[in-house]
Amino acid sequence: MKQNPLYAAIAVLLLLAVAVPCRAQLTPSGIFTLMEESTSGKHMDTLPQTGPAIVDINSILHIKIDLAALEDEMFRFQGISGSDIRLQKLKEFNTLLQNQNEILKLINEKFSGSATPTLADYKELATQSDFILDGLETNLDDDLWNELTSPAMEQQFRTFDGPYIVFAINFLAEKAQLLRESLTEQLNVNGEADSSLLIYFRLGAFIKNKSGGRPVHVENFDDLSSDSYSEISSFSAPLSDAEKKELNNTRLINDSIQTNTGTAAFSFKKLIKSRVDNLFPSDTSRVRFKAVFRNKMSDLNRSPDTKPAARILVENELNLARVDQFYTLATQTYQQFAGSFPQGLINGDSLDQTFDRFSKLVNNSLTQFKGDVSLYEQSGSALTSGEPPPGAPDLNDVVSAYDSYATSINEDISGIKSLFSDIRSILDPFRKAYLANEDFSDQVLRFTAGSIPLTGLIELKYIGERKAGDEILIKAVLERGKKAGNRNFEQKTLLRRYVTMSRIAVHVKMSGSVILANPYDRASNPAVALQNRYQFSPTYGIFLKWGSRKSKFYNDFVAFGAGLGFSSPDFNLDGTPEFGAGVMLTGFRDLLNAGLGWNFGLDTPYSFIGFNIPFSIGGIQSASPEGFLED
Amino acid sequence: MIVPKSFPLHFPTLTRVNNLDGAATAAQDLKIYINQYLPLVILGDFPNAETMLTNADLLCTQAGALPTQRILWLKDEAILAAVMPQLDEAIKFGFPNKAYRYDNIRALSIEPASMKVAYLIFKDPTLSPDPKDIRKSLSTFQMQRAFNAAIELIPDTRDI
Repeated sequence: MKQNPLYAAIAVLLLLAVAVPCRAQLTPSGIFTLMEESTSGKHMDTLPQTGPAIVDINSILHIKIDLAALEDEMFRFQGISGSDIRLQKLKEFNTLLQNQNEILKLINEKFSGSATPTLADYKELATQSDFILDGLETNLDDDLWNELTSPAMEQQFRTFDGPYIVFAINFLAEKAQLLRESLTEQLNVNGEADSSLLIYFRLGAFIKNKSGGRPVHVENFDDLSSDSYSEISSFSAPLSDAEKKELNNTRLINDSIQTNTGTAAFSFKKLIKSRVDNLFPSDTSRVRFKAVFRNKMSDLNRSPDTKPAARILVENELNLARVDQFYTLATQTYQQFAGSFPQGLINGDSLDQTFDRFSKLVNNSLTQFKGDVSLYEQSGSALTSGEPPPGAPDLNDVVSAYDSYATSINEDISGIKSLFSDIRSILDPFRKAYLANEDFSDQVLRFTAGSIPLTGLIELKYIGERKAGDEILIKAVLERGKKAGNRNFEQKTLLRRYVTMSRIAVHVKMSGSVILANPYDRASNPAVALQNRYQFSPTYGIFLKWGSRKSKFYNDFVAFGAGLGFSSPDFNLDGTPEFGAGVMLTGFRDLLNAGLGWNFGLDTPYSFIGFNIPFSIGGIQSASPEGFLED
Repeated sequence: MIVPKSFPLHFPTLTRVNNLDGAATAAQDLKIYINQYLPLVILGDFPNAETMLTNADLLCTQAGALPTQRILWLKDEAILAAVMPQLDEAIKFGFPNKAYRYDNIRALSIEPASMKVAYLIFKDPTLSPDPKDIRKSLSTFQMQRAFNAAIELIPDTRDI
């Protein structure tokens, strides 16, 4: 009965090991189907549409697209009614064409060159082909059916270089394209589709973890280059001293880089902020212009003859006040951007837009003012003397000061924009590290209906550095137009799915821990001199671990392992440790272990429970529990 | 045991389009032919025959075609009469509950192992009581479907 707690602990670990990974999940259908292929290609499974999606850290993710459903969604987003007969036909055609790639692949791989197809290949091709042919026979309207089977088409096949099924696929694809063109016809301006109204499909992915995120390459859907190859080994041996030293050096370098980068960022911020004080050298001309404006207003108001000229200034004062207000706004915006360096610079074009609006406002005000002054002068030419009207020279002085102000403003704005543009291009390589949102860059391609690839691939071995627990965000959107700033621009998210990378495949781990060993059969072995029930002993384990594709909880917290443990207990208390070995189970990220062993020095069995807490005993440093100090 | 045999061609350029030697041996030869090949049997003469038979020949030589795919074009009345009972039996075997008129059949594909008719093409599909047959008149499209149907019925154990 005294062994009960130990047996209970082992039983609980075993039960959890069996039960936790077995939780079922639902896999409803949709436009997108995510599939995981193991590196060896032996495992291929569909990921659930909802709930946790967990894949092995070295696997390949397939993103399969139901083109019929996607194009239907695209045209509805464009504004085409779901009851439009053309849209229904297009959906039918796309559904029939959905296995065209499989057919073409089958023909290319099994029936061309020196390939030797089997009967199964012939039957597969016949079945796949008949899916399309039967669909055509059943669904084509009379006109298209008569066209497909017309003497002209029979004649055309005589000279066609390829199998009949490819001929039929081409016919169907051509008709589908005509339908697409008809559906986008309403967007045409001068015979060409207005790109600001066209609907584009985009698909991209990001890796995300505690330190931020960065885009990762999705084959067929972006121009991002693959990252360096990195496979997470299935055998994680303990680090040698040399490796530890190397790792330590790397950490020191990393810390140093972080510190230096932080210092650099701080210095740069200071530099930018200091420039705010000198922002707009044009400010001098602004002050001068305001002084000229005020003085002339005062002078012209003194005499009744020049009061009409003063009225020109009064009428334009409102515009000038607006310019002044906008100047304050532009300055504040500049300061904000400088304060949020470098994210503010990286993330937006709104600084440029603010300055552009400012420049426009100044120029418009100047034009208006010049026009008013010109009209006033022309009224003077109507005078009998031909002299300019009273106050006109003063107004010209104001125009001149305003002109000088506007010119210097435009120069400054141009300079500031150029400076920020330079900074942006310098910071571009670091853009990944500062990814604050999930916006697609221009490297993520835009596809119109009819040009969308059927499958995207993410090879996790080629996405660069990653750790168990990191997540891949797969995102797909529809966009109206290409530019986010355009008034027609609209975005609709179709897919936003997180996939967690874990160490699913069986892998080996080695770890040290401290066990409480109990030589439970001490009554039959007088050599056991232990007075207490348990004895602390260092142990070293080598065990197999595995992950779950169903349960994040299992991977994050339970994470069982099973293997062998080697320990050095001293049951006879003679000061010389004996050698013990046994089987052990670990769990809860290796924090807890339990097992049965045999003391080979005293020929006695023992049971043990162990803890993987970072402290040393008997001169052996216990390894840290998985995920506590490493990862 | 059925001894393999070579069969005459209708056109020298269409190497997959055969005929039978004559009415006297037609029934026996048909049995050999079906055993030897995976045939699409076309019954009687029809308009635009040259184009259609050229396309049928292409269906037998294109990538993905079974090497044993052949066209047996029977237009001689005596031969047609001689093979009628055999073909009618094969149709009934392949489509036990189907209502059809033999003289409305233009072409049929046969699965060699079972001697079952796998697919029927009609002279006038509107005469078939089955509404699903409405588009099953002779065309390259329907000949391809006929071959597909026969291939799908081949037992997995049969050599090709």
